[in-house]
Amino acid sequence: MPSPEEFLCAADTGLGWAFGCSRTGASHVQAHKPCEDAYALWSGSAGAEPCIAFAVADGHGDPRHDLSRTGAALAVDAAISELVTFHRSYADCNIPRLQFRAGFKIDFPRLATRRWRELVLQDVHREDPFPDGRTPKAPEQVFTRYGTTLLAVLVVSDTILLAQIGDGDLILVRPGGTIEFPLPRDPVLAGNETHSLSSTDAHLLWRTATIDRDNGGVLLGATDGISDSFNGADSEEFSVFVHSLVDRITTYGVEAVAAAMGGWLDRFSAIASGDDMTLVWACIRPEEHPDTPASAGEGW
Amino acid sequence: MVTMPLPIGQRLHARQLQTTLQVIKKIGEGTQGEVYLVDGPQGYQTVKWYKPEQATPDQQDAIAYLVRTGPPYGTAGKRFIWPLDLVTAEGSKQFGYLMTRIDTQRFAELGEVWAHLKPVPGISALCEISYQLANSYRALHLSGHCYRDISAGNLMFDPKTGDVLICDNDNVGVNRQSHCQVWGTLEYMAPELIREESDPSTETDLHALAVLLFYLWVWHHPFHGELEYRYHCWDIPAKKQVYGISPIFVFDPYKTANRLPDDPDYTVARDRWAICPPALKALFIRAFTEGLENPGRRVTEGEWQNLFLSLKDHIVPCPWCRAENAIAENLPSVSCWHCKSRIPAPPFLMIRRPGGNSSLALAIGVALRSLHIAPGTGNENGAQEIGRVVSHPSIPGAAGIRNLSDSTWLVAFPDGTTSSVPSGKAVPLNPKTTITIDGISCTIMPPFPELP
Repeated sequence: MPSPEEFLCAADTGLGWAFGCSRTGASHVQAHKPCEDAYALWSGSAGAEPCIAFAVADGHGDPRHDLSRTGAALAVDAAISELVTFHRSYADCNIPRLQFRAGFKIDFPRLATRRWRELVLQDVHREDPFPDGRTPKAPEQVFTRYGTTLLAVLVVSDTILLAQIGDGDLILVRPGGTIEFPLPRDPVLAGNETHSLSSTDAHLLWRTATIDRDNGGVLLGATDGISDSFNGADSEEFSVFVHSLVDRITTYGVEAVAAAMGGWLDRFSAIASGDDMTLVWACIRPEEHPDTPASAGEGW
Repeated sequence: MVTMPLPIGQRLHARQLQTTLQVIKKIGEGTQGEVYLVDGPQGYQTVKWYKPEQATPDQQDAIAYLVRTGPPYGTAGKRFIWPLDLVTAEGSKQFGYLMTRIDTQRFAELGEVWAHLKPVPGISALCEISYQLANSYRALHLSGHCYRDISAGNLMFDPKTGDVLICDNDNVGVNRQSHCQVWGTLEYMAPELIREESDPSTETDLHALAVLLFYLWVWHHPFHGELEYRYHCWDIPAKKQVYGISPIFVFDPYKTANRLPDDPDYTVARDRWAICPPALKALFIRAFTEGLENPGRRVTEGEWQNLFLSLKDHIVPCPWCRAENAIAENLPSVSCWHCKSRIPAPPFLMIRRPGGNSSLALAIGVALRSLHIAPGTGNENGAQEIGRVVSHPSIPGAAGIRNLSDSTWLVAFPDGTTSSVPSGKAVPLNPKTTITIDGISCTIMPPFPELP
């Protein structure tokens, strides 16, 4: 298990900073099981248009999904790859924003799902996860073993694009403190199940949203282990946690919060859900308009 | 000075109505602006408030024009969430427009159905959604306007009843005349529009309508097949190629270059296409083959309307699993798409109207409506129930049509005898019985016989 001080960071000085931290859940540690969450961050630019992308995945983890740890890792890879490709394909052309946003909603779920399946099949050929002659009869059986959820976010100059399949939380805290849930809640399925990238109709199960960057804010992407520790994402306790996190970022700075995050997540897991915990938080600077330049050091 | 987002409590002024509105909260946003819940003399309504770069004099003129003309006439027009008034704020050059509030608990977007957030509409509700869409766009086009941005993003529907709402009507303009900031989404744009050989028009709207109907029925884009699948980078040039330069329908009977790939992504599309009734498949094939290069061969709203009305009249529930199935008159039975059980063909009511014959599958619970007898007349847009197929109260397996109208039906039985059936009484479902309703002759036809 990595040290609690470990975190990853990606930044673009014009857009903001993104940090991520993932911790093995207390119950997994006890059972000597690995963390089945994954996350990835990326920043860069295409056509002089910067972007920050991040993805968070939560492998299902039960015996039917015995390779879900790998599935989650491949899912965040697939998401970042498709987000960056999407950004690049639009950054080069003078495309109206309507097309850009509509294109994301129509294409990203299909392309990210397809990319994940490609990566899974490559992994199957590389690792031969069906030893003892247990050859799967259909590709669906392969995908089930790698089942995972996925959250994906792309921040560009004026827009934040969000997509999600399965449970987990995407929360935007605007500078005034308003908490926004840009995506509708995951439908409650029987037996505590959630939608999965491994479903046959996965490309239809995504929820997507495109929102204005406006005044920026702190965008959180979290696996359900975190909100479950606070009685669910709709609870007052979770709202208090989100606000306190943003307050600490403002007071102590993002790096200090990033360094402390692993320890906090370990404690939440130990005293509450016991689940793996992964949190990515992106501090998004206010959008700069030509007539109202943001002064140095203002905002995040 | 007014900032965006509009602060809670911000006062707005509705220009024509001369009323003041107060912002309650922001409830949505799009590329052109943000949508707010507002409170005013009419109760809660919504305001779309344009972003500064979208709040142009042209857009203001366009909204003022739409407010002046109003939505298309009648029930078809009421489905448009039309701009009710131009809205301004003191000290701001920005503006917006007032519209009625949408019940988002009741009405769903297609994406919400896909993500299992709202119920999946059955075949009957799909027919109703499709009919209402075609009916409303027909009314809009007849009024001399084109929509220019038909897409699933502008459609909301009640998954149970099939009632439709058409949103974002600020892009509506005069056909082939008015300038517009929005040219629609690439996925829905007609090939000639993508190739920049034409401006948005009612003809390009017809292509977009066909794509939207295909999405509703098949949950897939009509051109997403091998060609799209093989593109490593699905960028704008690739989209222009697939949608505009060389579009090929995935179910084109002759051109096979763009078939659905053998990938789990396409299972849903393949399965849903398989259960589309043959008459619907035929219209989709025409829309996405002949209609691509020849806009004059596109399926008109009237053709869609007639098809979906007719399809709705041929839906019977599976006797085993209750799933709705569309059944043809010339088949002895169909296999239920859901449980695969055999559904025997029911008797049909052949309605001989001056404008052409139509038929209605006589399954238990089916309603005979005034539009079946006299389309385009009567209250409630012809939805008034004038008869219903009911089980016989004491003879198992026997059924009849109960007269629920105010008039008396004249019935001629196969043996040559006649009778009057007043309101509240029923006519037995005996083949070759002819019922005359308001001068229209309706004959009960036996189920298509099984092969010996």
